[in-house]
Amino acid sequence: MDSLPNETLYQIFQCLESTVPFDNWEPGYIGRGETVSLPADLASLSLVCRRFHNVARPLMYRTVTFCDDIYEDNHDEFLKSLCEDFSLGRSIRNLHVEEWVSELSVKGLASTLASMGRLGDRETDWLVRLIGSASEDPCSDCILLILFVLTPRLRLLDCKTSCSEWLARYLCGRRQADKLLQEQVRDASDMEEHDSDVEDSSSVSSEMTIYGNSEGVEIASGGHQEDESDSVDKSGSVDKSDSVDKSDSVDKSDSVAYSGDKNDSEDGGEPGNAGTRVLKIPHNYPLAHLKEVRFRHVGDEQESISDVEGLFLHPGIETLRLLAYSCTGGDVTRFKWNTVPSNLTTLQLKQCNIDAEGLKNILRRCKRLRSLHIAIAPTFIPEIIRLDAIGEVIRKYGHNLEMFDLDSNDFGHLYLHEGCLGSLKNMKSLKHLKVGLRELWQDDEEDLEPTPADIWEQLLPPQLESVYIQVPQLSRNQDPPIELLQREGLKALRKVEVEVSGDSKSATVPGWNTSYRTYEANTAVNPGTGRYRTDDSALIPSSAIIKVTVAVFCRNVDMVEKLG
Amino acid sequence: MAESKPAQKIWIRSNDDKTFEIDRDVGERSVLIKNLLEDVGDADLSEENAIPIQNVNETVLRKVIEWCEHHRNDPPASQDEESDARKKTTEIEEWDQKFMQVDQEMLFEIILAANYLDIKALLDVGCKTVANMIKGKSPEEIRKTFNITNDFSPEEEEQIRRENEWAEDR
Repeated sequence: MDSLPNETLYQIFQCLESTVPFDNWEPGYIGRGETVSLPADLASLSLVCRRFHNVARPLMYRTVTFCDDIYEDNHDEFLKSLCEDFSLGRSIRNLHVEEWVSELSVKGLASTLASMGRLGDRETDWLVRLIGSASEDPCSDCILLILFVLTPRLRLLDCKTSCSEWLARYLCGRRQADKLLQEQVRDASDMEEHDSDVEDSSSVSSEMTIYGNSEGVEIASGGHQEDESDSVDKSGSVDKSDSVDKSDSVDKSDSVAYSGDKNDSEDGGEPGNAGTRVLKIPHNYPLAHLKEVRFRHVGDEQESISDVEGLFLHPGIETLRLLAYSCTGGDVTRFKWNTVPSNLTTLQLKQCNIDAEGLKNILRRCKRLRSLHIAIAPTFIPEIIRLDAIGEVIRKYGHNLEMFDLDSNDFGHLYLHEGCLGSLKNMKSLKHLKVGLRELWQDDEEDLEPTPADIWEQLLPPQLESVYIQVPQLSRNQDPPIELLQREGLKALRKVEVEVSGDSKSATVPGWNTSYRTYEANTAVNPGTGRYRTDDSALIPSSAIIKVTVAVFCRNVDMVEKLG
Repeated sequence: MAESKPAQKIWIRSNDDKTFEIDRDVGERSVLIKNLLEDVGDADLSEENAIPIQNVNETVLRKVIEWCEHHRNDPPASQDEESDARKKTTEIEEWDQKFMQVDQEMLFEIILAANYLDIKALLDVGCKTVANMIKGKSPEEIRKTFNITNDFSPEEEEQIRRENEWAEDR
């Protein structure tokens, strides 16, 4: 191996790096694929010789994945290693934690880190409050908070948490977070006595006084405030400097754009002309390099999306994926900083409960949102979802969306919605759409008549490049809608996928290449935990696993050239 | 139906002066050769004017050409490389597995040639093959497999072993 240069060794060792589930990241997803949870091979390589050690060690810590089958000792020793050598935590970019089973003393760990100067008063204070909170598993959440401190260059955080509220609060920016903490102190002031053995609360109070009356980075409503740590560049330039990776703390010059529309009028403004303002990330921003967060809520009830408002406020986070969160009108009224726009460009809500009012709030707030994925949870729906109202909101406020994916995918077993989205023809930015046929369009006669061929040009925008249509199992009169492939008004279409349950094959269509893929879908609904939420796919009854066929039509090259 | 044109030929020469005549699309699996061909006009292509492949000898080049011929119709490699550990796998397709059943010296020569010639897919297969040889082995077994000398002091080794304890499969 002496002949191989270090860059080639790096490529070889990279094959042994832990992986974070990417596409199918929810627990229990069939075909989720192999997840390497511990970098045992990289650990072995790092012990072979000095040269291997230098190449393997950064890879060993770049992606850290703790799945459910990891033992307590692994967790304890991991924390021990990070505390003994802080450079290790600085290598961590991707952190995936299924379940934290360590019973390490949080207070002991916190005071050790504080004595080493790695845990500031602020973090100590947060830990004190968290321990005193009503969290189901404060230890686990405290450890996550400690991990945030030890992994300052984290880019992807993927974790299962019962207390995402605390973690999101911590991440939402110093002044906002501290204001929230102040409210918590006010609400539960009697807890302070019990917690005073870890941290003298006087330091907390003084910090509260400093930040207590601040409204944070209020930049959308005009009357925003600025100070040394939160300054707004009015030039409108967007500078996402790559230099973000060069240090733990983000320099004031690292700025991230907020596309806050100055006149955030009811009609949602014109597409594509949202004003752009720039919010600089303060140098003490928690996890300033964070780009993507996935929170999987643990528990039988859904968590309110208002609890993770902090994630909408973190200027660096571009992609947010949430599992089992509720996003209804009732939830969004509990947002505290409704006027602060979010920098999110991709939002995925899995097993969520959503209504038109909730969606409207999200779309008005996230003006940079380009990709929206919604998968509705069958077990958490307190009431029927009105798709016509959702369609109204999407048409009015979703004009910047390039990808819209609405999955109420029940393969015809359950219909949890009424009405349909209706025409999306006027969505000028939409390029990719994934939706059920029945959710997109229904006629008055329900499924008695097949979909008329000429409906597609009325439903879909002419610039659409790809569409994925789910055909419901119960609609026996519905042939797969291959006629949309030949509509004159949809010339931009390059790829059409039609999903049907079972094994059916579509007719071939001139000008299109056809291929098929199949997958297994879990249709089991656990009343307690919901679909897909079992961590053990062996628990899914085999009768609930159905075969699904997807016909993939790709416009052939000659046709693409002919169409220009 | 239009008659298919005969494949255009190119010539490449190993560092020990063996010239190979290959189809142009086979040669273009190498980004290095593809770029050189773009710079050299078609008129200059000849057996006498073969493209020199300076870092690769006849035996290795023959092997690399065999791989390129088998994979001549593969779709071009995706440009959006995931460098953040999201989509890694060490699976290798059957033909490639057999192709890589060579001695260690040849395996590393192929990897180096793939790197030099900029054939990403072949480099990937080579790296995965070596990674699979490492999988599940202890440090001592890896040293033995690849004939590597342990240059750690006992204290250093012990410290790294302690630091790595969290990553051990139990």
